[in-house]
Amino acid sequence: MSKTIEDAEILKKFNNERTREEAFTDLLNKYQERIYWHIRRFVLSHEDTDDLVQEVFIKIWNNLAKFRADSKLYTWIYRIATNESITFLNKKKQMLNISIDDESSSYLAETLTQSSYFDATKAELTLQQAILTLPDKQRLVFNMKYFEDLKYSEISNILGTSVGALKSSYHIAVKKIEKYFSEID
Amino acid sequence: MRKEEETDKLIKNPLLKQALKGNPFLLPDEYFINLTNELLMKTRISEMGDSSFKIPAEYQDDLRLSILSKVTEQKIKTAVKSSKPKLSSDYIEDLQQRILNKTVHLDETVKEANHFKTSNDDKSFNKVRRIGQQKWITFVAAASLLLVMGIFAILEGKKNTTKLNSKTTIVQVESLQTDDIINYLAYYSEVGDLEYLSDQLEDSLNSTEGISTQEIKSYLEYSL
Repeated sequence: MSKTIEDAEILKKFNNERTREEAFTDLLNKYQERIYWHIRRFVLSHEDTDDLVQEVFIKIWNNLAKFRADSKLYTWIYRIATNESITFLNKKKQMLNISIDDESSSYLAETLTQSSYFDATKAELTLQQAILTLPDKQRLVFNMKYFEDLKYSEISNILGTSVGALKSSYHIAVKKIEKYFSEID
Repeated sequence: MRKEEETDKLIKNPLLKQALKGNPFLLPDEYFINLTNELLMKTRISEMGDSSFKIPAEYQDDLRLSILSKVTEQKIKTAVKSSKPKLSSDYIEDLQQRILNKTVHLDETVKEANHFKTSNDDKSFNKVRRIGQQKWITFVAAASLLLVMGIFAILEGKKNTTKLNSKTTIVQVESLQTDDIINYLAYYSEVGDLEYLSDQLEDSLNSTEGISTQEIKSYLEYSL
């Protein structure tokens, strides 16, 4: 029931000090899994994802009272999660002396194989390796479109990119992945 | 099934299609339940941290001033330490020598000072002052000694003067005439003695044998 609660209701309860914690619980129940997978498919590591998810929701707790509802609540939450994830990976690139302009995410491939929370078939592993050949933003588009089943308009609101550019980016991403599979075979 | 239709149009590889349907990412059991509880606990802690501890009014301003004053104090201390005058390496040795010059080698210094006093050209000379104001004891002792010596000298002088007078008297008596002696005796002696002495003296004068001149002198000394 709590998962179907409307965003407006959550905001109303949150603005009341007595029901603030209850509102936050409702918000967690509604969005924490989606946000977790959104971040997990992007940074790959469960431990890193856990840290980022907690940071995102603490930020939401601290700033939800200031939310002006000029966008939808889930758009606002996704935007926070996406920005935190991009910042995290940029820091990781710096630590590994990789240029931020380097669009490849192949540096994350080691994270896949070393993680104890990854159990994939050969095809699934190949798929993830193929996805890692994509630039970060294209990877996001592919993940949000295919795995999270978001509309192009919603992705556009989150990433600040036009629908047309997103469609083009997604098609290119699919082609690249297929080509990768064909070359492996 | 919108995403599958769109993707099916794009992807021909069946292996890829199958892979896209799976999820290789694992997570701990009851992760989301624990995540909710953990996040709620953190939000409660953050709320407590803001309101559970109360601070006095204007504490932050006072704290700021206190910290600034301590920083300034530390800066001053550092500056004082660095500006402290340093002793030269041979200062102690020079000090020792100067003390010795003013104590052990004091006489030499005074002589030097006196020499330089007469030299009008030597303007660099610094007056040497005796140290040791307690030399008065020596002066007193010397004065006392001189006094004693003077007293002894005076006493000795008196003694010598007396001896000297006796010797002079003997010389003068020998040069006296007999008549003078008689007249003297007549003037100073007693009557009885005078008659006897006159008679005796005439007899003796007539017979001078047996009475020496020395005996007469001795008698006169006794009588006188």
